[in-house]
Amino acid sequence: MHERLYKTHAVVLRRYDFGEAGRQLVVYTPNLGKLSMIAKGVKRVTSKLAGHLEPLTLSTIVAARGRNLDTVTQVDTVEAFVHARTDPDRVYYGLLVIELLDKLTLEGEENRALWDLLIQTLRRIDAEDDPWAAAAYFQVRLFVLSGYKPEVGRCVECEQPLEASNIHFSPTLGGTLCPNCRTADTRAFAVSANAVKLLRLAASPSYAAYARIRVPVGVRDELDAILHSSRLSITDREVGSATLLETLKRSSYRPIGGRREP
Amino acid sequence: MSMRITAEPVERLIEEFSRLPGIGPKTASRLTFWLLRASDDQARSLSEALRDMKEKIILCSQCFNITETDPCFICSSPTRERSVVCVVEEPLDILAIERTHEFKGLYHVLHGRISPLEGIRPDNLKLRELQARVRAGGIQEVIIATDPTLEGSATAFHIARMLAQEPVKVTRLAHGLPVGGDLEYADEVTISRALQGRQEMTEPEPRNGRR
Repeated sequence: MHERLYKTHAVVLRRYDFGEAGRQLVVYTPNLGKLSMIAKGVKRVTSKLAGHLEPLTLSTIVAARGRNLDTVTQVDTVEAFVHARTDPDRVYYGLLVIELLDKLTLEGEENRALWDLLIQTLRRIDAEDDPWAAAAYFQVRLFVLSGYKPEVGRCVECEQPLEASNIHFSPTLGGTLCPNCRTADTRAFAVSANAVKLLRLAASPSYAAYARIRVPVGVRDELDAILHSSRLSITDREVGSATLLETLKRSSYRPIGGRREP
Repeated sequence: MSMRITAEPVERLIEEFSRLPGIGPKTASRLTFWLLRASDDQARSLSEALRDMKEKIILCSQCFNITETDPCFICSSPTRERSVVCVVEEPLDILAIERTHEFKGLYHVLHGRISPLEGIRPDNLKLRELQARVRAGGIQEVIIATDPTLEGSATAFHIARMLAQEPVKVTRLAHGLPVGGDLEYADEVTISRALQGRQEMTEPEPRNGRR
């Protein structure tokens, strides 16, 4: 027999209106994976729960098991990630992280490594000078941990080691192609050896080694292109936050490395 | 397809009701059967109200509030201050602000907030229209009254950046502790904002007519 109440850490990934003033939440947890819950009355100004149930917040939730969905009864913030949530140059990176995590996970599948990655990434987006690096690392690691590990270093088609030049990346096959196999995917595009190196580092479990690299703008754009095509190939549709980041980057608002709001 | 369980018009109404937000199949059947027993007048009045609402309600060409006349009664009122515009997410937010009787300016309804998770991007909102209004001149202050949520804040920052080059003052509603709230249950962000926005306690002014 299950206890009626249980307690878990959680990060809200998504929420939508439920009933008069409630919200249904999709949360990610360390031991229960992704799950849906009901939080009653959180749209009321005086709700005791509301402030702790915003996306990009690490909270402790006490929930009561229901016949269908569980109901949040108590919640407290553990880490607020204030910068990640309120700095307009960071918030969309944070949203990209939770949106992609939501897309690539199924309810009820526990993945402790993914949880740890999520929390570390939110901390990095909150604290580091450049949120881009942490968000890019998260995406590559998310692909690795959910079974879409990109094959880098050798040709994904013929398995021969790659030369330093004339390398292509295939989003459909999920890896690099040698000059002889580049026709295997019509959507494959040329990438530099430096971008491949960065991708390999991002696929490894050590963030320190990856974060030491100073990434030139050109290589950064290449990794962005690799991530964009991979997201498209894996989820069929580009995620909303990524599209928004892209539009903002092209507009005059400059989300990356832009000035801080006073 | 499920089998037909009752007369076709009844089934159709149940189906229509169950499309409404917050109404499940049970509530939909209950409403339908109540209307079935209700007088003809009651049913006709409901259907007329529905049709009128759809036919007569338009968006105000200036503030995008829902209205019967264009411009809406707020935009065309001679007593409202035209130099202050309050930006809200939904028409319902105007009702909430109007109930305070504190605000005498005009409004601008965005019809949503930036929410990448729901696929709502800046160009889905009435943002360009806001910029055009500001550029047309006469506005001195834009008060951003989006929700104090992640999406509402993102929208607020977006507006602030959009209007940064314009000669207007851009302000946002204060964050703080709600009336009737309990400090002990407030989250860190709310409390830190409340601390930042603290106000000096002054001697209360004597009320008129009282000693």
